[in-house]
Amino acid sequence: MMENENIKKSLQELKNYYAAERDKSQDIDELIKEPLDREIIIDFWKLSNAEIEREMWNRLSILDADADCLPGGPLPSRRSFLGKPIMIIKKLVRRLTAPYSSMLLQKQNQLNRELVTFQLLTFLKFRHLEKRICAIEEKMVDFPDPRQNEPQIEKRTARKK
Amino acid sequence: MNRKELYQLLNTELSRPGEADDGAIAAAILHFIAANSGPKGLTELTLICRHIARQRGIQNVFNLIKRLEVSFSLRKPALAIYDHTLHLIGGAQKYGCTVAHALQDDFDITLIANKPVRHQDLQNWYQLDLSRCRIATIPIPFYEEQNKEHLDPASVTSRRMANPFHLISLESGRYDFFINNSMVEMVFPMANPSLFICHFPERRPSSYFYVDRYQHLIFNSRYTAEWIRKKWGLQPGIHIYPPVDMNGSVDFSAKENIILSAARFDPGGNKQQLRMVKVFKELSQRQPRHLRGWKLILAGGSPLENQYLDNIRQSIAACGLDNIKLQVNLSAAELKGLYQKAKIFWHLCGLNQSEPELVEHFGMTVAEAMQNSCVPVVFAGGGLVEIVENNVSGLLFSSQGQLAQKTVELITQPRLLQSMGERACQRGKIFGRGVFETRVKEVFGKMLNDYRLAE
Repeated sequence: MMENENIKKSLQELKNYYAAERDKSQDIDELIKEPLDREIIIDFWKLSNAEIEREMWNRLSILDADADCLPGGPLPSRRSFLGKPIMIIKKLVRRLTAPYSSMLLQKQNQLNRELVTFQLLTFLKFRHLEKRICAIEEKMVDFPDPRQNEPQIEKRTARKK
Repeated sequence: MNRKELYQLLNTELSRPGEADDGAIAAAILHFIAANSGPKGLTELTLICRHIARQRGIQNVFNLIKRLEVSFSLRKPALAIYDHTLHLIGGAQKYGCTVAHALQDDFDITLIANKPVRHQDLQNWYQLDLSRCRIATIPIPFYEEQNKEHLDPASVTSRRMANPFHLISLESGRYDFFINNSMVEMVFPMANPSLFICHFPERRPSSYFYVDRYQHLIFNSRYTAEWIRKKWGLQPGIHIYPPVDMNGSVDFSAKENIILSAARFDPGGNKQQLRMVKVFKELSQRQPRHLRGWKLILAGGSPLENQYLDNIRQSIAACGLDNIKLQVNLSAAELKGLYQKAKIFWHLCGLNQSEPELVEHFGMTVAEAMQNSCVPVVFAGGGLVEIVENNVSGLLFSSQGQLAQKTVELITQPRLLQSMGERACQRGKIFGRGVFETRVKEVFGKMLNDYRLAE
């Protein structure tokens, strides 16, 4: 009985300690000591119609978010000691090349926007076509072709004979 | 087991990352502590934990300590069932709640929801007393900002977005057992053992896909299992059909000439009630003598605003038939009353569909109807073919024409209708709640035995 109490107490203490450690770190990779995420490759050829549509929407929203290629915001620095001089050089290069690069990037930006819009329009066109096909299919179900029930005449065999 | 042997085993197992046998490690430590429960042995336990934490992470040690507590019978095992739509009524939610109901004597159960839900709601929806289960509500900020009632996992479109279900993954690690009943593949299971209940693999593996990290994969029908293999490339493990409890005393002579459909008025029209109206209208025009005195009742749940339901109303009005009735958002008792009165049950979900998710994955309402001797005339696809044995306990069709033809066959042969109704009732019983709970207890009993390191 006493032994059980000792075990219970020890386990409780250990549990409290590790629960606190667990709460401190919210990083799952660190908690399980292995990388959580891996690259998943999608086999587009296996996707169904609805899945392709979903994938198209997702990609379109990514394209839209990335269309703007003009530099914005401060330059990032990850180095502790060399950071400052490197940043000064980067800023200098950016300022010197600005007149030429911003002209090119603005052109690129405009093209990106046009391409995203074009992709969206193509997508919408597909949708309209699909709706029309669905409506035709629906009509075919409601009014099946009466010739389907007629006996088939085997023309080729008749000719051979 | 002495100290040397224990460390030998630990070093062997820990040197195999990803393949270490947690059960063997826990069993060895359990035996070591049982034999050395004095201060020296318990100090050694602290050192072992530190050693494992360094190699396998804090979560692994935390899981080990929880397992030892349960193995020494110091407390009941804790089990969490997560469902992001627990606050909404549904078949998948009933599945999870019935699992909780079956296990609440053997486990301390927590139902994890993302929106508030009361015990009373669950009781009213599913007629289950879950008073011994705790409900924990964990709001997800990403969805709270959207202020929508339904949390749509598909709105996480790429890995550029942070995983909003990270919170649930962290929460899962607090329990001995974790069940994901929400079809959210983005929850990483940190408990050991972990189970994923798949009602249907709706999405292909993409950003934050962790289903393969669960130890057990439960599926609701063979149709779902087939698509788990095709879409996820995973081998489904445990087959448990959903619980259906509509059993009632049925007097066939008291039944009326009713063709019933019970299905949600899905705004996308997946359940095809509109087509039912068309077929019934066509039948009434072509076979007026046979259809005389027969009614079509379309019952089901619907949100307040539903364009599809409005279209059905318009279509009924345009038909000019007064024997097509709509019954929206009925109580369970009212629905049961309809099942008891109806002779034939129609279910068209899946007809003329090319997307596998638009075909019925199981078809709980079909089994409910059968339990009340209602003869099912259902689409020959998806999970429905697992419920209905064609020409024995119901009829299967593949086209609109076949549906009309088979319905007339039944209407014109009352003896066939009655005998098939009796066989449908017998068949329906195998999907009963009792059968479900027995199976759940059997599966979890075995898992619990393994977890407890019972020899």
